[in-house]
Amino acid sequence: MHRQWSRPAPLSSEIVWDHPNSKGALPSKTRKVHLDAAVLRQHRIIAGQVHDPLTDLYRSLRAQVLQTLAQIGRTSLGITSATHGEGKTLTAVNLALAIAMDIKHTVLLVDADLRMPAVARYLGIRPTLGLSDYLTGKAGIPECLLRADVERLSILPARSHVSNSAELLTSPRMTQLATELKTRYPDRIVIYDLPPLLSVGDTIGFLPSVDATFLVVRDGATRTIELTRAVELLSDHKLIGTVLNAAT
Amino acid sequence: MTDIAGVGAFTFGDYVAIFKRQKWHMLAVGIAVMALATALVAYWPATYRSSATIMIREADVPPDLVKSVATVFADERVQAMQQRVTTSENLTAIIEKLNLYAVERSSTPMSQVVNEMRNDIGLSIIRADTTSKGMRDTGAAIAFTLWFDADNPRTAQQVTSELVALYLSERQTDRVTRVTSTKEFLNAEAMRAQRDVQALEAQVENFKAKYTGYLPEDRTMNAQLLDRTENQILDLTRQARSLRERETTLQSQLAVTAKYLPVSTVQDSSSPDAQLAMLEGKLEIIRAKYGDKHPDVVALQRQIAALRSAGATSRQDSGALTLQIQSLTADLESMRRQYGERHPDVVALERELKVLKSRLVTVPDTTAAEKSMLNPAYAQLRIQLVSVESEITFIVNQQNALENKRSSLEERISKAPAVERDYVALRREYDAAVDRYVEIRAKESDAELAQSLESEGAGETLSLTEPPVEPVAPIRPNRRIFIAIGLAAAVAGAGFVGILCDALDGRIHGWRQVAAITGQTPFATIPVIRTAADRRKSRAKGASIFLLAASSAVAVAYIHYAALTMDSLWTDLLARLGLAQWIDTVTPQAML
Repeated sequence: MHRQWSRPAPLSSEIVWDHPNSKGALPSKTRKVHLDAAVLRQHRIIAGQVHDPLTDLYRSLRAQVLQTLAQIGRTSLGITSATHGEGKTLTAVNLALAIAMDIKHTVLLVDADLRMPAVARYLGIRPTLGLSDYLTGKAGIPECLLRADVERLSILPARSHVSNSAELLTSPRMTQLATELKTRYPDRIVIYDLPPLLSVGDTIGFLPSVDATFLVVRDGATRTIELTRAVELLSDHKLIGTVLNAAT
Repeated sequence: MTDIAGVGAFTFGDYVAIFKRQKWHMLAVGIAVMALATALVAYWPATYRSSATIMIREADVPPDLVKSVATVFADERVQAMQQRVTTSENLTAIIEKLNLYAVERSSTPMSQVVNEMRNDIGLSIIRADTTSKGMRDTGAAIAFTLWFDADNPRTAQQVTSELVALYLSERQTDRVTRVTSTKEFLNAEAMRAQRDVQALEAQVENFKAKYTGYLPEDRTMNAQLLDRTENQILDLTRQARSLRERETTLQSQLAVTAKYLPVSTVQDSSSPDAQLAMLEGKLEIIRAKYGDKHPDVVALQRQIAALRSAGATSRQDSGALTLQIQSLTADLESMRRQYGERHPDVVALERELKVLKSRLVTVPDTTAAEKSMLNPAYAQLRIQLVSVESEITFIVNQQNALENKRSSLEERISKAPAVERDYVALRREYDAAVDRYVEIRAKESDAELAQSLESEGAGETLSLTEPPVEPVAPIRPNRRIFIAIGLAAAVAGAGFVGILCDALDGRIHGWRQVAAITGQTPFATIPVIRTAADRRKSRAKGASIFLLAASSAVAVAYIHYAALTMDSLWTDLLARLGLAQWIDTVTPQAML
């Protein structure tokens, strides 16, 4: 893929999707990536492994999330936490994999944490293009999307970090992308891995673009006041539930 | 525990989680507390106590035979012994001999040091039960424990030994003299008691003599007498009343009776004058016969006097005399007829007649008699009145006498209680004095017996049943308890600190807290996911800790073998911790 520096990339409306199937699978032009089980395990991504006891937990999590989303009739979910290091990316990836295991659903995992992008690392992939490129006008979406060799899972990585992530996340380009991703394949679950709520303003600005939010709490690390504050901030943004991570 | 984040009571699992989280804090606190306790135990200045038990065994005589003066009050005797043994003299000698209280002696006077030493000496009496009497080895054996506290065991034992020696020796020498002096003392006391008894006896006698009739023993008699006297008074009063009535009657009768009657009336030989004459004649006769002192003579004289006082006069009237002679002659005739000539009454009557006839001759012929003579009725009444009056007088006198008697009796009775009080008190004193005397005499005889026993060597003995030993463990501080308390405090402190730290760290612990804040239970609780890398890391940590421990052990061992100081440090530490008995068994050599 070559980058075009001089002119902005075509808007999503100009994107040509050739031969989409009814379930919203991407055209075969989308790049495929291979997810290595060992690498996943190394990064604590276990939801895909059938023989891990923790998979059941993620299955349960998946069921509840899907049920709640179905109840409110939405499909896009933003996963965030109060501060850093609480395991939201981990949870997002594991949840996405768990959903992908369900044959009734397809899922798109978007790495919206442009400050410290981690999804690609966790999955053990090295994208050449990503959201950061799209938002800076260097690429179009089809080039950034990836298809995992796990069925029903698509990935939009961030690729590199940017310094003005707050502005980029709240730019019209992003808002439009969010709407597009939602509406293109209405049954597809879109999961956004968002930056922490309290330290930066990115997430708060982006929240209107997601239908529902989800909070990750780390046992023994998240402070009570942080959690309280986070809940306050999310009070208008359809917080559907929480996950207690790394419980001892 | 009430919840800190507002999520309800904690379960056991929550506590386990807390302790796992805070284990390092808890360990640090626990070790610190333990170390502190150990240091306290090791370095608290120890006090060692060495005790000895001494038994006072009774004489080989059954105790109810000899209530030896010396056995009666064990407490007091032992205390007295203590006083004698722990004199300043004795204690100073011990202090100097064993060089005790060196520090204090340099700064404070000896008397104070001796006092301090006294405080360190202790004595407690163990009472043995009285065994059955009649057996040879018997009696109320008294045992007491003697001890001394010092800061090192050897000194404690030495001092206690010295004290024991003092006790045993003092018993031997002093006992005989003590019993003797007891006896002498008792003798003097007995004498004094006897004097008291005698003095009181005299007092009692004096009192009784002084207050005869007022004494309690006279009480019933006084009451009876009073009763009787009152009855008598009543009686007399009644009599006096009736006599007075009679007097009044007689007086009134007398008032209406004429004293004299005209003489024209028949001369009556029964008139008082005639009677008087007759009586006078009789009087002459029997006076001649019997003399003046004869009772008949006296009685007759009295009668005559009565008549005279009633108003009769002994008028020697021939007419009256003639009449008298006539009547007597008539009587004589009838008596002669009845009894005969020889009858004494007849003979007497003849004699009387003769006298009267002779008198007739001498009497002037006063047939020109007075015109009047005393009225016999009047005379009669007067006689009666006179006798009644004399009776009344007599009765009044009697009454007065009885009144006096009564008032004196009443006085006695009213004064009796006061007298009784004094008397009773006096008696009591006397009785008490007597009791005392008896008691002292009894004790005196016991003391004599004890004296003879002592001098024959059958008195009681002091024996050392448990000699003082060098104590192994100090009595203060109680090391085991200190260490146990230290352990408990360490555990408690650690637990407390753990919970406190957990509560204070302000972080979310457990899904309950999440639920409390967000208002719904988390969808899932994902445990820590361990990767292979994690496991490797923890293995490495374990390995490094082990390495550290091993290397320090090696270092210690090296130091020990090289410098050979560990052993003494170790035994010193053990000793300080009160684990001296393990010194021989738990040694570095034994361990390695």
